[in-house]
Amino acid sequence: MARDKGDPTAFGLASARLAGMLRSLGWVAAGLALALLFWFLTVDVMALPRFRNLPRLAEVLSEWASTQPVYGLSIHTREYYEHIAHSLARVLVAFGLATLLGVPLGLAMGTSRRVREYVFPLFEILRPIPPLAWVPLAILMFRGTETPIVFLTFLASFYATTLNTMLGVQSIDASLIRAAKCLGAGPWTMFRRIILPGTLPAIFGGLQLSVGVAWFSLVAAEMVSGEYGLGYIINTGYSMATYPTIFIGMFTLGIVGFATSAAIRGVERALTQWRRTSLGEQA
Amino acid sequence: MNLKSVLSACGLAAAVSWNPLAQAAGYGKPGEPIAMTVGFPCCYAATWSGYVMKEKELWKKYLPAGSEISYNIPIAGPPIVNGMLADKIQVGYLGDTAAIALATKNQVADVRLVATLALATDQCNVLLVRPDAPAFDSPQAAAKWLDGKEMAAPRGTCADRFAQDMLKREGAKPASNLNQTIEVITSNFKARKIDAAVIWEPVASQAVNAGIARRAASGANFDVKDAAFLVMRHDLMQARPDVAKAWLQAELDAQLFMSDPANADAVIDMVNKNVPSFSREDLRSAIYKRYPAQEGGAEVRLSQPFVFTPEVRALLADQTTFLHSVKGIAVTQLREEAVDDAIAGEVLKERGLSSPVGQVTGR
Repeated sequence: MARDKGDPTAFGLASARLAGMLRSLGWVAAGLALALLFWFLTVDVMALPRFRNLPRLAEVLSEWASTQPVYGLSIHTREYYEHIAHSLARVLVAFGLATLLGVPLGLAMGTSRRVREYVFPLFEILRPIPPLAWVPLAILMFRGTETPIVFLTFLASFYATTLNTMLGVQSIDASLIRAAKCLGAGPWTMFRRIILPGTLPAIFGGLQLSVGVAWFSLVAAEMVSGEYGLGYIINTGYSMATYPTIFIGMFTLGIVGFATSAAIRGVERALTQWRRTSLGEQA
Repeated sequence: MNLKSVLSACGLAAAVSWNPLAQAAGYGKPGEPIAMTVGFPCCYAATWSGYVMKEKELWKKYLPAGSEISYNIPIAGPPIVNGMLADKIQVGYLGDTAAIALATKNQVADVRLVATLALATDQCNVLLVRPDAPAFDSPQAAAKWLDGKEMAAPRGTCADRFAQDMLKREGAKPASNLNQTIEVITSNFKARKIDAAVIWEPVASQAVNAGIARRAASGANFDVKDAAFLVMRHDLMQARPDVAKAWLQAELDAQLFMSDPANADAVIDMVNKNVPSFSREDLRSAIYKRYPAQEGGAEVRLSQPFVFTPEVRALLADQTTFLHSVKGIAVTQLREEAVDDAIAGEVLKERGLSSPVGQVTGR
């Protein structure tokens, strides 16, 4: 069949996608550059009253990139990568556990009124308690040093995953469920064909939140660490008043956290392709 | 967003950050009443003259009438260090390493060490071991026992310096020497997750009295001293020399009050009123109890040089070298003007006193 003049070729599609990605990257870079410019102007140049006590951008960047960092941590030191590796491992284990436990619990709470009545009140009582409050109990309850850290990182992550999953189930259009029942769908078919696909976007929304809160729980959790982790270096920087190190820890945590969220978005895009396709078809 | 919007954002930041009240308040003129904040850690016994000042309001005798003092009393030094750099606290009571670290941040704020609060051997430098550790022949044997063990000490503190010094002397290499806060160390002793730790009073005595740890050695056994200092923002000292001197006069009264054995109960009452989570026994043990020499006990629990004697200056030099070695500060020695005991010396001279002004003896 002859191709229309306006028909996009594979090369054309790839080029357009690449151009779109480059445009997005350009905006991301511009956003970051503006934030750094704001820091540079308010701290380094104008030394505004509420900003002048912060470390200068130049000081932080030169420490971060230094081959002989004053406070012992830069991209050239082995310890820097050990801190990242420890934190990443802890977050991935905590996030994995939160997903394995939170998604089934959320599905159960969403589909069964009885489970929800048993579990939800306790869940809602525990949810507002910050990880910091659990620190002494975690030390006493769990063996070794790593398990309390993983537990403290897991907590907030678990709440986000469970709650979003439950809300996802509850948001499924009731007429879909009724229609499926009328057509004779059993519980397993209903779960496989209606509940799970309908909840998937909410589950992934929860997982995005979950990995984010895992990273910000890490600073409290790694109080217990005593040796490694990005939260550990932020805590140590605070107690020793080494401000450039605190910023290095914060930025690194932000960057690694961003990368993990992006990875989850990638997985979500792959698993919910059907949804975008069907939405596209409807449009 | 274009350059115009960036400049607008910076303009907005400038407007938000400009605080007319802060500018108007300042420190006032000499002779005028002053409002300022004093910070000291609740849980470091060497700084407890701060509680005597607070409870007896000794400053009222020397500061201009109508002056107002508010207190910031966190669990440890870091909030005070940060508060002084941010001008939220003007006068601070700090352990030696925290005071040194603060004095090196003169790019942010010029803070100076103006008096010595205490010089001791077992206020900060207390080695605790788990209760079921073997009975040691000597404190040195206890230090050797640490080889291959799990231990902890808060990094960059006087306790850390003592731990590292002791380990080096005895050639012991622990399996791990964790950097943990005193709260985490206490919980770890309770959970029996660590074999030993170096911490300070009164947390050390609290752990011993609770039966979760045992004293095994202190700086007294290794001739390693610890200290605490009074620090002041230099802009306060410049704008209000009358206030700086008044506070030092009152601080001297507080130290003299503490060193009189007849006031021991009163001091414990004052501290206990502020930190009820420690028992009176814990607080008394922290400062007035004489532990056996085998456990690192010393007759003098703390001495009060008030000014910077050669011994105190030597300790400052050692601690500064230590802090630089652990990458805690960027300099190898303190700038000369960071230690400024001119007013403290003047106060001593006017009272006809000499250093040390007193000492607290263990019983």
